[in-house]
Amino acid sequence: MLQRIATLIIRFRLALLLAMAAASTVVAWFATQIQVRTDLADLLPRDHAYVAVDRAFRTSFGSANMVSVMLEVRDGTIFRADVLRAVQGITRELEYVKGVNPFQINSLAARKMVEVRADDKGIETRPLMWPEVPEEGAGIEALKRAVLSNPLVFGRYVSADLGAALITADFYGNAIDHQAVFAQVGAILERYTLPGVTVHVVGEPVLYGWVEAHLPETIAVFAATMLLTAFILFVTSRSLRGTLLPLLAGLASAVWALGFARMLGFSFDPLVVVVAFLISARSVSHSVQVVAHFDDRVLLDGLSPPDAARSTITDLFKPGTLGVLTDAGGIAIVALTPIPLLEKVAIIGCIWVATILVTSVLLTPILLSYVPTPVGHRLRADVSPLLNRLLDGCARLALGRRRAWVPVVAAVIFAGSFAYSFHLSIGDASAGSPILWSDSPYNRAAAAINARFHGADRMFIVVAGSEPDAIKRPEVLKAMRDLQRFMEAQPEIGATVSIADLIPAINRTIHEGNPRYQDLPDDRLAIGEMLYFFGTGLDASDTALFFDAQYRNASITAFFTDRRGDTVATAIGRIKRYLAEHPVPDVEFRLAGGVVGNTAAINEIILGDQIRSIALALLVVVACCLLAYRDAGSGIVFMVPVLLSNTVTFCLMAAVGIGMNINTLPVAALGIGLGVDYAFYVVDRIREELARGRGLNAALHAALRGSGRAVLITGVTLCLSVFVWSASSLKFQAEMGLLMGVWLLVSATAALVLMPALVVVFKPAFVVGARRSGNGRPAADEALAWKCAGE
Amino acid sequence: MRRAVTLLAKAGPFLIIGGLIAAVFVVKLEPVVHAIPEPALAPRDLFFGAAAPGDGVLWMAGTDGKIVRSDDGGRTWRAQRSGTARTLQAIAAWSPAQAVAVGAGATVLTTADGGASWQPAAPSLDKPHRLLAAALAPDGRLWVAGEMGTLLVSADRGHSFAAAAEPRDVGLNGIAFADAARGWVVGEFGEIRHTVDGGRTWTTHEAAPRSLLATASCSGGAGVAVGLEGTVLLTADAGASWRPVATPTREPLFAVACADGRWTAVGDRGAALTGTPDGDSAAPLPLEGAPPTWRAALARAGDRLLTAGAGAGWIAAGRFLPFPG
Repeated sequence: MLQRIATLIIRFRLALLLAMAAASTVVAWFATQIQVRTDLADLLPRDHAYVAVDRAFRTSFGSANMVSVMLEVRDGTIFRADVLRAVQGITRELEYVKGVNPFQINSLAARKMVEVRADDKGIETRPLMWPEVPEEGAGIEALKRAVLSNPLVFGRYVSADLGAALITADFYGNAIDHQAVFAQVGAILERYTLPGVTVHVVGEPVLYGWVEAHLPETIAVFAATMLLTAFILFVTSRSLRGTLLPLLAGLASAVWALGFARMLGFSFDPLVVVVAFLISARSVSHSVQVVAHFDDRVLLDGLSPPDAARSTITDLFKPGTLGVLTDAGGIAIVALTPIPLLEKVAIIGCIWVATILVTSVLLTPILLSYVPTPVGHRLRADVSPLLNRLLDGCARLALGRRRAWVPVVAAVIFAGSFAYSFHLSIGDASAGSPILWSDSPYNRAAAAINARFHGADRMFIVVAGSEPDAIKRPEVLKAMRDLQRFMEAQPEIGATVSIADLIPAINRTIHEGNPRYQDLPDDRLAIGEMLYFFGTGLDASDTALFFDAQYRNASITAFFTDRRGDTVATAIGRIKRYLAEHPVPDVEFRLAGGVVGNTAAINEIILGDQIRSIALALLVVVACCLLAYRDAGSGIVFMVPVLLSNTVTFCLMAAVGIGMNINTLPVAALGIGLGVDYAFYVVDRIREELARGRGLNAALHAALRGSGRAVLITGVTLCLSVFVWSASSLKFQAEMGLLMGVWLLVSATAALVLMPALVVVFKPAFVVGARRSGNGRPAADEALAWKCAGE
Repeated sequence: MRRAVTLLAKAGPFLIIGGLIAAVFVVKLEPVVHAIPEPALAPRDLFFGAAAPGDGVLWMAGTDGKIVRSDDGGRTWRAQRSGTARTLQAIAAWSPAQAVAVGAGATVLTTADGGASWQPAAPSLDKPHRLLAAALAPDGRLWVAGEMGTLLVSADRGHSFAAAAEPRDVGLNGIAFADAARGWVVGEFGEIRHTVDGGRTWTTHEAAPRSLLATASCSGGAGVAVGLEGTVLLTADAGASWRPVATPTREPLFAVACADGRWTAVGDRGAALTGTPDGDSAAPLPLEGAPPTWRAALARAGDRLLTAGAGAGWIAAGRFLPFPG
């Protein structure tokens, strides 16, 4: 059957080639239209309670898309006319940035930042520094005094040491254009540079602006990797076909995948470039196998190129398809995580992997069939003897007396890495953004803001009353205050703020500014009056950050100094437990909005799915093997490298401090599948050689020198190539490069050392049983099986 | 045996596959949540009362019924169970074992075991007024002042109280005694009263121009009262007469204490003043390292002053040394 198809393919090779070229041209046109950007809405899980709360309340209580600007005065305080004018100017100009929520721009200069004053006539509110900035001297001194006794501003928009001012601006979620925001905010800040004043900017739109600004570099790194790959392939294969065909396969795959993505209307997240590279690397690997097999057929068996190509198609169909299917299955599982970005990555990934079937399994052999005989080498220097020595060593190890040690060592590595992998953190593993280096301008700005203020990352909890005026009840305010006190015990929560802090401040004001009255009244009417006075002179949008117009819902905003997985999980877990133990009648505390709330939702989804994803990935391997070999045992054998790859990966991520987050998850899912690809080729080749009637010894040597050689070449090539990534300005890419290097190493080692030893030690029926058809000696085979079971 | 092994070899893969399928549907990881103890001194805490009864023992009391104690001169602090969530306004201690704390809602708490347990006492008041100040007279009696002219005295270390004045719509913010017989109270709208008969009768003075918020007794009948807009008044005759002194600040002053022949006052936005009881002016007290926030309590401990408010620490040799929190 396979042979007939292979014959047909070779017969119609020209037509197929032209068809592929035509199709490629069409998709290539689409591929050039692809948009590279991050859609922040895509990062949020569907149907998660936290995300629902965030969506419902973010326009009033503060969205995750917040930009924070800090003006830091090197000597002295911000109470200088020029600094105050800069604060005002930036606050005003931010209103004109594309996509900004003009009602949620906050700073000392915002109209809603009011001073509450009390005298004989009652209490009144008036803006601190709006519409005008005070002149030098007395005016500035008065402003400073007003700031010092204003808990809404002091410590929040003016640092406790008075040396820094903060300006925050919220952006509407959906169609935010990071590049535009990044550029416009940058231009505004440029206009307000002052001597002795440092400006720092952070926030999700700025972060993704930085990532997108690094795109040209990312592409350059990608290109450099490809060039290095080409060079090493040429050195090892010493032929143009061994160099160009794998690269062509990788390129064609990329073009097809991007073209399809564009047709489906997806944009391309710049951080997913890593995934793209991984899949292209797979395409290259498969293609190298094809070329190596073809060379064997021509050079060892003396076939003509078209015959050798046909034979290659037939022989490699099974391991090639198996590899592609398990890869596709692995990435498809990512789609089960209900986060749009991951679903899109999974769909593109699946298509991309599937294209390998066309490009490597079909395109490469067809092109090989055109190679002129005699097949020769372009490069005189030959690394083959070195490679062969290494490969023969692998075969000797598998066949030698110490072979039983190989699985034992693997088991020890598995146990050790399994135990350590529990240190893997779900979510970010470091403070600042894990995408960028800790000394990047962005992370330095984040650290500077965290040092001066309570924390740049926010989370809000909604205190939802069952009826209007619910939040005027003293017991509700006291419950909020107690929860805030409880939350602040966590060191990473720098502060919390709510209406329960506002009321005591007003209470103090109406008692001659005496701090002995800075507490919550027991009287609902008194609270209502204070809220009424606070609201006079302000729009509903100005008080919306704390409570709604009906006094039904209020917010508790917490400021986090970092967003590490552990920090967020601890915060959420503690709050949930506390709320369960301290219920308040007719009021519901709903978690959790803001950027930390979003992170919590994503992390919970990822953590909850972790075991399921690994189990499903293993089941995919088992199912594919069952299909290919009709033997349940085959699945178990191939599960070994997958498991090992999993635990080693997690272990490494934990050791290096790479967290499992929305960016690393798809890379890890795909990378783990890498562990089994090479094993398929080597084991299948052993099986094939045994089926041809060779002895175990000869079969092993042939398999290692054939498929094993290709494994070694691609392993070394890609491993060296990803070193280029460590030079990336994006820490994320450098870390993923490291991970990829390790996967390739684990994968190659498993295929060259572990799998042959497993075959010899355990003699799995689906490999050695194949002899039956080869030499017709079922009895001997039976004996072998018994022996294997008894061992 | 061989049969069992074969069976296992055959069944093994299916067992593993079954386990995986079970894992898909059953196992769901939950995040690990660490317990975090609440710090004794939290950033949210506001302290209004402080006491230093000796032997390195320090007490502070403040918002949400919080009472903290240090046994090592402020290096480490422990929160004590006060049993109330009301704002505590003052704390006074007879010894490291015996103390009283008073506060909002006519709250009075006493301890005889160093604060291991605090017992509520119920002064008989017409309404649960806020008690604002507590002072120990040299004869060991406890004096408590508060809103609506509340003035209470206890001779049994806070267990029972007698009213020492009729209710009036004026808040009494500070009280001090020079000896068993002579003492004074200060309060809202510049209210000053003094007694020469141990509190049986009180003489009301002409009001000072501003509300007075705190007072302290120095040695030999000298005393000092402070209040809004930087007001500082001095007495040399145990409250019988008062004279204002020039001050360099307009900030309200919330607390005052006497030590080593000098008085020290602290107030809003980092304000701190010092002077002598017989002087005629107040000088700014430089407090290096002090955040520009308010402080509402002072207590003398040896050659240092414990100060508390929005944050707490030592005042020593012109520097502010915050307590580790």
